[in-house]
Amino acid sequence: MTSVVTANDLRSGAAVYLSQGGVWVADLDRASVATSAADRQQLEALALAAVERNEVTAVYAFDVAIVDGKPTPTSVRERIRSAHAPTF
Amino acid sequence: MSEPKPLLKAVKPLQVPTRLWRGYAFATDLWRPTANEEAIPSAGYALISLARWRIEQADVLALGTPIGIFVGSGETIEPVTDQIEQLSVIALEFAKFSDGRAYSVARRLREAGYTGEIRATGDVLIDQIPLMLRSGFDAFEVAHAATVNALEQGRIPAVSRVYQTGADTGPAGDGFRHRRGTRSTSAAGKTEP
Amino acid sequence: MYRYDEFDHGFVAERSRQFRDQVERRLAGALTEEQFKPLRLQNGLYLQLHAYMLRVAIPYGVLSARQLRKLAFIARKWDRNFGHFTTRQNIQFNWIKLEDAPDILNALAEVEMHAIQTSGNCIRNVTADPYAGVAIDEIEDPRIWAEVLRQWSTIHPEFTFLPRKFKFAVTGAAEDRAAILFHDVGLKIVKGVNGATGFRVYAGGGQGRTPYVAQELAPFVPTARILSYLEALMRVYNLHGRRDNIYKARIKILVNALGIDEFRTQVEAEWERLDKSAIDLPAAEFERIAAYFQPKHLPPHPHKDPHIEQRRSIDLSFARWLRTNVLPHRAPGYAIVNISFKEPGKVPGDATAEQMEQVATLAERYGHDEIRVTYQQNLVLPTIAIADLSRVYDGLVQAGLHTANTELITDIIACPGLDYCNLANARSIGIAQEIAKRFAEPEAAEAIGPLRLNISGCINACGHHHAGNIGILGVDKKGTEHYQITLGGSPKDDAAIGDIVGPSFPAQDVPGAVEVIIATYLKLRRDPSETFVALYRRLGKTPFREALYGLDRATAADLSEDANV
Repeated sequence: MTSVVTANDLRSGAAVYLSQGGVWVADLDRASVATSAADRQQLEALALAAVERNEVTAVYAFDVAIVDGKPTPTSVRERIRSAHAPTF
Repeated sequence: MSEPKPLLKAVKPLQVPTRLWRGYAFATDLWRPTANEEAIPSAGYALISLARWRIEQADVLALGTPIGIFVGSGETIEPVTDQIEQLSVIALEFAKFSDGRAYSVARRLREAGYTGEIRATGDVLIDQIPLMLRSGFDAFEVAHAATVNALEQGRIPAVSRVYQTGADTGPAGDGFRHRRGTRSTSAAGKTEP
Repeated sequence: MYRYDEFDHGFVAERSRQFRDQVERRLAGALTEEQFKPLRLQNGLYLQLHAYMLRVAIPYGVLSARQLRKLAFIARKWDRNFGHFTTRQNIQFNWIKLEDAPDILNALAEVEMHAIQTSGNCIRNVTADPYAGVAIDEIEDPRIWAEVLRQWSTIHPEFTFLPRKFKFAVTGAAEDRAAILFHDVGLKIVKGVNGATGFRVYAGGGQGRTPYVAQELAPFVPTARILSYLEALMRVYNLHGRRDNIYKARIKILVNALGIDEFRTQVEAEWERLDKSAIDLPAAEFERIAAYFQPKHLPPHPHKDPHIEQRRSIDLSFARWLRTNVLPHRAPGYAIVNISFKEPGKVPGDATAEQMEQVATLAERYGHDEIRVTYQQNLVLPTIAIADLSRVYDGLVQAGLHTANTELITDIIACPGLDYCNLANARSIGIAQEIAKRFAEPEAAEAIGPLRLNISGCINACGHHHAGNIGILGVDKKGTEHYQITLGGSPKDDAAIGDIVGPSFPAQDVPGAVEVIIATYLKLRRDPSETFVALYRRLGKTPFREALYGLDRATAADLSEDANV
């Protein structure tokens, strides 16, 4: 099960993704992908630290498929979110 | 789709030993909760459950010592009888700050003429204390660190204008747009209009 | 309209300061998200997919031109140049930053506006008839009482943490234009014996997962006693509404669990105990508020203007717009003008900053400075001299606001849906656009006649799909967006919840399904005066099911009532 951890930036509300070294990025392509339970735990620990530093809020993980080497959401909701824009 | 479950449990806010805030100052709390099976201490100052009060009312009052009750979230005191005036303290629980039932329980008590202490216990936070004061609470058991700090520094959110009459805003003078003015720090929950 | 006095200004300023302090404490970590969230919600700030969303209160849908200009300013400065009008007569901004919210609240306070209690488990915006004060069928102006209720319910200390949100709607006319029967409490002004004024009180209406039409709680509560009555009602709800399950926490669940008679008994028992004199509005205070809503003195105007008559005979678009969007006013020589924010292909209910400013200009020049927001996510200029209709129309054309479709099929109510909203299962805006395009021909929409089409992106039903003559509900069917169609709902005096017509449709099939439904209606109606909903009441859903799913499949077992996904 491959997944990505996401949140909303506390100040701006923008959708952000957890990437290498615990940096939050807007671009889903640059998100860290967890492929094991150990990966997940590590990402969760980084996310918790960011919550406690009041950087992000509403943290959760969602499933991705790897397409052309890039994490791609499997749900419509996360696709829309990663585009940071409505679809019409 | 639809709202995803949060990944992380909510961060637990820092708690400190419970302190009693009453009359805009911290006070020593003489009252102790007493379990249903426990004997009531000879000096009194016991907070017994609402259920115990209902059953043992006569016996408890016969002790002649100060007695109070603890009312859990979701419990209501219905009907409010005259005997309620015998209670020195009624502690109403906010199991979660967002559970607003105790506001109505307090209002009913004040409207029925209860003049004793109504104390808020449980998830008592600084942002809700003004609402509690207006609903008839005049004492607060506080365990939330930031709330204790705010109270120590007198930083209660200012509520100088309210649209409703309430327990601590006096009689309906000019209708329901009741101006409060500045809060006195010594009076026991009563404010000069 | 109501003007803030020093008290009201001070109140809002104090709340703004408090919220600024709360935001600062949140950003500094002195408040956790769990503690901050209800405070944030009480100031109308949601966290959505892409950003925070701020819902600004427009009390009972009444705006001055100055206020509308400030909303345009906010859209430009802190958002992406647009806002969205809602089914509760409010406006939403979709691209807000938390750190800007305190400045936005200050800007709102400058024009006597705020975002207090537009979210959270408290009493929300009291909505009212958008034609209040000007409707021909009006008994008494509901805005006065909507303002009274607004003040009574603002930071009411006992009712700030209810089991769930609470919505009031008030009407004062023969026709219900505020969907009061789908509200937690609906109030209808009525005359009692000796011409006394009172309210017929309805309770327990609502949409969402378990829709209900409200039931009559009291046939007549004198206006002088309405606040104490409602206080008793709210207390019963606060104490006994469920808190164990957010999907069962609205008053409609309590009313239906107890039964209306037992609920009434409890409310009356509480009312009996209350000190009514401490709660009910003193006559002097009523007079003070009522004075703001005295009918304006309007200079007399002829009810027929030669220029208008001439233009309507040669300009077909203008003539159509007069037929569909313009209604008679209680003052002779005047009209009520509906402004459509439903141009086919655009986002229903969205207004650009430029459009807001154009409407403000028209209101200032021709409209006595007043604008209304409607339940259908449109705006109204409630008082326009008939002689000015041509100029107003031209002004609307300039801003792309002249679509002639009030209450027609393309006047779609749609929630923001999955493009914006955290709660959604499916997108709603794209569906609305596709449907509207199919009926974009003005003649087509007018020929179909009045038809309320409502779209919700999830079961929370912010698009009021249950009350649609045609309702469309977005559902998640194994990870793809599907849409369930309901028929026969109505938000008016004949309030009804729509019937599910059959299994849901994938997104690309929805516009076609609506076309089939309309074709069926047009084929079967007695004459053009039989509206869609009247035909549905006459014939039921069978002809529509057959048309949508085929005659043979329509009777198959798998098309049971409950096959809704």
